[in-house]
Amino acid sequence: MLSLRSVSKKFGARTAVSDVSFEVQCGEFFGLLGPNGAGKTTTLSMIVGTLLADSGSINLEGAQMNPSAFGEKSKIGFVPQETALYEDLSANANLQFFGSLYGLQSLPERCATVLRQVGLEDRAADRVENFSGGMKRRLNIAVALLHHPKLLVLDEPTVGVDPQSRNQIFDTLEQLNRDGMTIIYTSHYMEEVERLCSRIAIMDGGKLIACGTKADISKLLPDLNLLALTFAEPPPADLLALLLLKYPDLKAEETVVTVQVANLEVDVAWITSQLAGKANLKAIRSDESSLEDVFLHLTGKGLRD
Amino acid sequence: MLKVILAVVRKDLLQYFTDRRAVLISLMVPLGIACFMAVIFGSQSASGGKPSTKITVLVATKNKAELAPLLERWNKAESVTIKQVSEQEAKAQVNAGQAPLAIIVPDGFVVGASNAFGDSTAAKPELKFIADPTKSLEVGIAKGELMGGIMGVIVENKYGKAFALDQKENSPYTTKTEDLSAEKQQGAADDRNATIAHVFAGLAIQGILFGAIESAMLLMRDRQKGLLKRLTAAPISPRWFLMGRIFSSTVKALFVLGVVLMGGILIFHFKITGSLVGLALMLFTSALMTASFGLFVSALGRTEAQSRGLSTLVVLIMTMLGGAWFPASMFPDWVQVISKCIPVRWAVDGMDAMTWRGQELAAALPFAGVLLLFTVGFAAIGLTRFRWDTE
Repeated sequence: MLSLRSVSKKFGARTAVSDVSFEVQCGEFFGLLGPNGAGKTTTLSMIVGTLLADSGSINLEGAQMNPSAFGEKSKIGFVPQETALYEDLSANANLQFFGSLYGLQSLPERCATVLRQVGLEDRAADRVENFSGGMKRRLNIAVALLHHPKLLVLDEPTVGVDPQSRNQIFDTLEQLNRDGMTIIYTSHYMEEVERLCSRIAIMDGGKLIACGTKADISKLLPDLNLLALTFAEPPPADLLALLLLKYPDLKAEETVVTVQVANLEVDVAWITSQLAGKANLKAIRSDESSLEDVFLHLTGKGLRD
Repeated sequence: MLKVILAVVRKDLLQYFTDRRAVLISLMVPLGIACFMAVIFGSQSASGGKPSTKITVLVATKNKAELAPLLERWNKAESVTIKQVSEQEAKAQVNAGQAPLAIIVPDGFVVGASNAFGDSTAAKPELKFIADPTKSLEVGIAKGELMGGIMGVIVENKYGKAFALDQKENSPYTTKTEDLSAEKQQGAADDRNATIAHVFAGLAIQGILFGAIESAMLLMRDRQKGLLKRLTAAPISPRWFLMGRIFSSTVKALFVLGVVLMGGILIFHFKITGSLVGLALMLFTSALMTASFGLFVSALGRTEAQSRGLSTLVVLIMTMLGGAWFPASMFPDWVQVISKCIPVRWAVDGMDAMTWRGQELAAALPFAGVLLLFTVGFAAIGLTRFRWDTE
């Protein structure tokens, strides 16, 4: 449905996006993950046609995307990072105005439908300035749904939202995706992307550093398992020294010691044999690697650094 | 395109009238200032440019008998009230700002001055004035009145009563002043109509210019809030949106102009003596010009804080030099030349032509034409230079 080929964008001397390429299939829930300043918003701006790429191409259903591609723009629903609403107007007046820019027929009915979709049907006549942060975010999404877009593009839609509203937003988006809508979702919260998206692209410093399903991306990590050992009391120093000899990336915090092991079965057997009689081991837990671990591995920094 | 423009106009007007307090302020500020200035300048105009209340002049002399013929004349004067005090008291009161002028008449002044009249070798007595430098207008008027009386007494004393030309019956000619306003031509009222109509037109223009700055700030705030980014993602040309903004600002400006002028008509009863169609044309082109000026301001500014101060200064200079506060005819020649480069001058002069100069529609066309040229210039810069993103 959407393809980006070697897309780049500069602002003066600063390169915001450099040589980014990926594809989004029809009906897919696609995540764009990266820390602040990674180039996600600039990439989205080029996808929705508010910015023109300096080089490369963006195609939506085979047609070139650019700021004057009105036909293509009408296929996209865009949810900007800010709650881009007229706060002194009612929810309904906002929808009426934005809907009229798309030349929609039977606008009042459509407004009522999208308000119902985001759970704000009983607040249609209320001014947006009286809404909570979560309600504003939901209305922000409703505006983008007015014209039945084929592709919904969301730029960090849950910033500053309480957990309840966040879950409501997730439920709405999952339902839309089940109904066949293609969704591109950007965030710097890996939990959100891990929950929602079937395929993920990771960006950092304007570059695409990984792209694929979560399983594909996890393969980028060395074949190591994370083992968390929980003791009844802090383990003795000689024991820690022994473990450190075998596992140089050992981390110890009070009663918890974390090590990376190559072979789970063999290493657990070795560790338990070494601990026998020397420390009171309460639990051993093997953690699955997360997107955060992948990002840390690829860039040397955390997603929220 | 038309549907988008109409949608923007509808949305902007809905926003404008939703904030009733802001609407009230946008109307009351120009109306209030115009009323204040109309009271001040209107009352002066009604008295032929002289102050509406009489000017107190303090007179000090040692020879009260000699003062009698002078007082007789001065008491008949239209603009002054005479109060006799001691010299010391005269100085103290002028110094305290209680009277603008005092005159110290020396002993034997009338006789001495009469002797010196026509005789350059005779000793001239000295008449001393004590004046408040902050009240030069009143001082000038009072001096004129006092000197007329003094010369009348001196001439009468020297040549007899028949030669006292300050007496109306002795004047060898009569005078008549005809002000060329439509009011006068129709044999109606006075200069007051012209003054009040000018004040209301000028301050209404100033009001809509400040309204245009507010519109510009709103647009910049919308950009900051990401609203414009959402608009640029829609399948419309962003310039249609800006054109919608120009039209909605024009409607708002017309509303303010209409209410302020109507307020002036209702409160001060000034009459529109020119073409009503011409006045409507002037109101529309003035409103359109200020609306495009608002877009121009928003296109040149990066941040709201940066633009607000600068544009306020520009509006104040434009209204001052454009003759919105005082008629441009009061300015020095070089300022009058500069003021022709300022759209406010054309708006105010055009409104003057239609409100109190009693001109026909054809007279409004050049003013409206120039305002349209300014509109096109501001709009062209605004539409091409406007920044859609904060990046």
